[in-house]
Amino acid sequence: MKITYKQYVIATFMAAACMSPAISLADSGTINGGGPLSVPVDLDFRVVIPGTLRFRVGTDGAGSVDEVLFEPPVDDLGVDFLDVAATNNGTVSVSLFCNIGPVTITPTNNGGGNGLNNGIPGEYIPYSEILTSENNPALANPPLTNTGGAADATSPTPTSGNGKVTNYPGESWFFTYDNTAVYPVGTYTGTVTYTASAP
Amino acid sequence: MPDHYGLQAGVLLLAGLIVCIAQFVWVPAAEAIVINLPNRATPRISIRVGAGGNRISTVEFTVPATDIGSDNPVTGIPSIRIRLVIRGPAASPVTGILSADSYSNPLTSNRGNTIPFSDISWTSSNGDIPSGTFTESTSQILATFQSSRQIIDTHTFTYANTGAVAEGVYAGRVVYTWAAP
Repeated sequence: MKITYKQYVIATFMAAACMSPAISLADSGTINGGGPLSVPVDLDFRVVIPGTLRFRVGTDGAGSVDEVLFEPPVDDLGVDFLDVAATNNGTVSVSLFCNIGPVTITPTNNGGGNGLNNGIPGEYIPYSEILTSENNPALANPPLTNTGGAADATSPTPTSGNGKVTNYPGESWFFTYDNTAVYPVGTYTGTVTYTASAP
Repeated sequence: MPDHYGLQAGVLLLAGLIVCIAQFVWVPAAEAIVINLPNRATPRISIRVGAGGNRISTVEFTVPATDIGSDNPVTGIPSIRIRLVIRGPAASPVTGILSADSYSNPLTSNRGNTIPFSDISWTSSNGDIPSGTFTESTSQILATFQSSRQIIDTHTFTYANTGAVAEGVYAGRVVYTWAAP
C-alpha cells in the first residue's frame, strides 16, 4: 500500500488529536478520555451604572415653585409661644437620589441678607422666623437664615453603596412661622433655593 | 515423424515462462487509506459559550440614568449561544452536567462597590438549558444530558435593576463547567 506524504500528515494529526487530553480556547473547550471529564469556559458580564443626582422640593416639574403661606391672626401677632401653622404648603414633599457620593443641600435666598421684604425698603421679616423640621432626620430640612449658604447646609445620610448612594424617594419637610415679633403691615415675600450637590 | 515430445516440451517451457513472468510482473493494486475510527469507547465532551474562538464573550447591561434602581429590568447585549456535545458508547452512556460558578468573580466596580450576580437571570430560547437566575454559588447545576447528543441553546440575560447602586462599571465573570464525572 502506498501512502502519499499528504495522507501521512493527515493521519499524524488525527492520531495526535485522539491522544491529546484537552483542547481549550477562551470560551470553548473539548476533552476526551476514559476518566472524569471537565471543561471550564468563561462568560463575562458588565453592568454600566451612570452617575446621577435627582432632587425635588415640593411639586414635581421643572420650574414648578411652591409657595408656603403664613397668615398669622391679627390678635396673635408677636405672641412668641403661638407658632403659626402655614395656611398653604406647610408640609412639602421632598425626594433625593444620588449615586455619585455624599450630598450637601445648601439653602440660599434672594433677601440680600435682610430677609423677607414687603416691598418697602427697611421692612423685613428675618428668615429665622420660619422654623424648619422634617419627618426623617436623615434628610434634614436646613435651617433658614438671612445669609443662607454653606453655614446652613445639611448632609443627608447615605443609604447604601458604601456611602456613595443617597436615596430618599419620598420625605416631608415642615415649615412653621415662629411669630416672635410684630412687623409692619404687609405681604412679605422671599424665595429660598435649595441646591443639592455631590462631588 | 513429428516431434511431439519437443512440442510438449516447448509448451511446457512456454507455460513455465509465463508463470515466471506472472510472478515478477508488477500489477498495480487499488490504493486506499484505512483509518480506524474508534467506536467512541472513550467519552468526549465539548462546550462553547458565546462567540467561540479564542475570545471570551461579554454581556453588557446599560442602565438609563433615570431608571437606576427602578425595578425595570434591563436586557443584556448580546444574547449568548451555548453549544454542548457529549459522546459516549451506546452500551454505557455517560451523563454530562452543566454548572455555573457565579460566586468566585463577583460584579465589582472600579470604586469597590458590588452588584450581586443573583440580580442577573436568563431566558432560554428553546428550554434545553432551562431559564433561571444565578445563585452566587460555585457550582449551580443548570442542566444534565446523557450521551450521545448535541445541545444548542441561546440565552438572553436580564439585570433586575432593583437596587439603587453607586455609579460605576461593574465587571464580573461566570465560569461554566461542562463535566462528565
